Amino acid sequence: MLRTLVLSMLLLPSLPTRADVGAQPATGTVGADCVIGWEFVLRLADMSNGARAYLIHYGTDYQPDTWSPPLHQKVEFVGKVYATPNQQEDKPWPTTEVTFDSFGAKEATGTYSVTLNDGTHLEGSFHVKRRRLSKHAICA
Amino acid sequence: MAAEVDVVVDISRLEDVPVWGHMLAAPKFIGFIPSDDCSKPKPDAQGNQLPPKVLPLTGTPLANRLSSSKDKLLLSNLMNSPACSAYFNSDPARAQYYPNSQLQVAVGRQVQYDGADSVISMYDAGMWEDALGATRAKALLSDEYISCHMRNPSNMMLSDINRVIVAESQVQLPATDSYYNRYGKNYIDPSTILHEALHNLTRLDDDDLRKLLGIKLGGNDTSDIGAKMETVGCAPKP
Repeated sequence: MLRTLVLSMLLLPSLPTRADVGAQPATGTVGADCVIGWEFVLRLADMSNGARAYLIHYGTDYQPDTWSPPLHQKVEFVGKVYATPNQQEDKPWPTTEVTFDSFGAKEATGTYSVTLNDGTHLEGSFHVKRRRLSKHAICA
Repeated sequence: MAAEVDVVVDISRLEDVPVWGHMLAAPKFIGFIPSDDCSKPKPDAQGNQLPPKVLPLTGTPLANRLSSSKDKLLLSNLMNSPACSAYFNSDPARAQYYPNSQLQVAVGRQVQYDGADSVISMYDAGMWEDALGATRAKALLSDEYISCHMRNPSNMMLSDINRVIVAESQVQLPATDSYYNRYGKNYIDPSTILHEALHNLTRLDDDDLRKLLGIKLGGNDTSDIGAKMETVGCAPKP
């Protein structure tokens, strides 16, 4: 009994969350994007449970293309999360907490955590490409 | 859509405060701190403070470009063409926006403002989606000004001058306002007017508009929406 309890205590903290079981990092892009306006956007595909997301971080002081997120800190994003089974947009937009572990010129890595309106919790890691707009970008 | 941005940076108007990029491994000089306060209400010719929403002055290049583009779009009557009708009616999601001349009505109802002079926040301008919610929209967007999105390129970071926000549109009701950028006026075409009218009409952002119009997501910028309207025969080419 004691051995089971001790083993459980040792193992539990290292068990992955449900979303992380066998999951590959979500893919996508991050960087400046034409939205309504001109903002810093994280697009994720292949999230846990097959969800995808289009997440906006406001507050880059009009410089989403040169802004770098702080590393190893939670950054708040809001936007569209399309969750399975029907890939419907979750409304109202949930807040997604994103932590960047790296943010380089070509790619970025980190983790995301979001609770949808129905209580479903999605979390996992991502490995995305930096979104580079072509020389001239026209937003309308 | 045009291929070149005719932005000329007036270096003399830039403050000489260097800024160093920190997203790359090695520090790299990327420009100067913007010297204007684009969030400060602007004066008119008499020195009176302009209202938050400023109509383009008659006879200015922006007003002329808007007028000619809108006239060309409406006079072409392409929004009523069989090709445009067939395109919109080929998909139930699109078809809801076509009957009763909704495209023409949206273009006709659109109130066009001079974005550079309109010191109005994204929140007050109604440029946020319902799903964001009014409370969060107010918290996030009350300090983000259209006039700063569309400010004189001379006052932009050098790293920013290759992008132009040509227009932004209201998606909150009454969803009739559109703000156009005088510094991007050469990109305003008939299809741009229709693109913005589609935002007003559908109250959708660019990505959702792409889905509605059957355009592949992830484009470099949003010129693909206007191009689609031209391709399917709803808007004349420039």
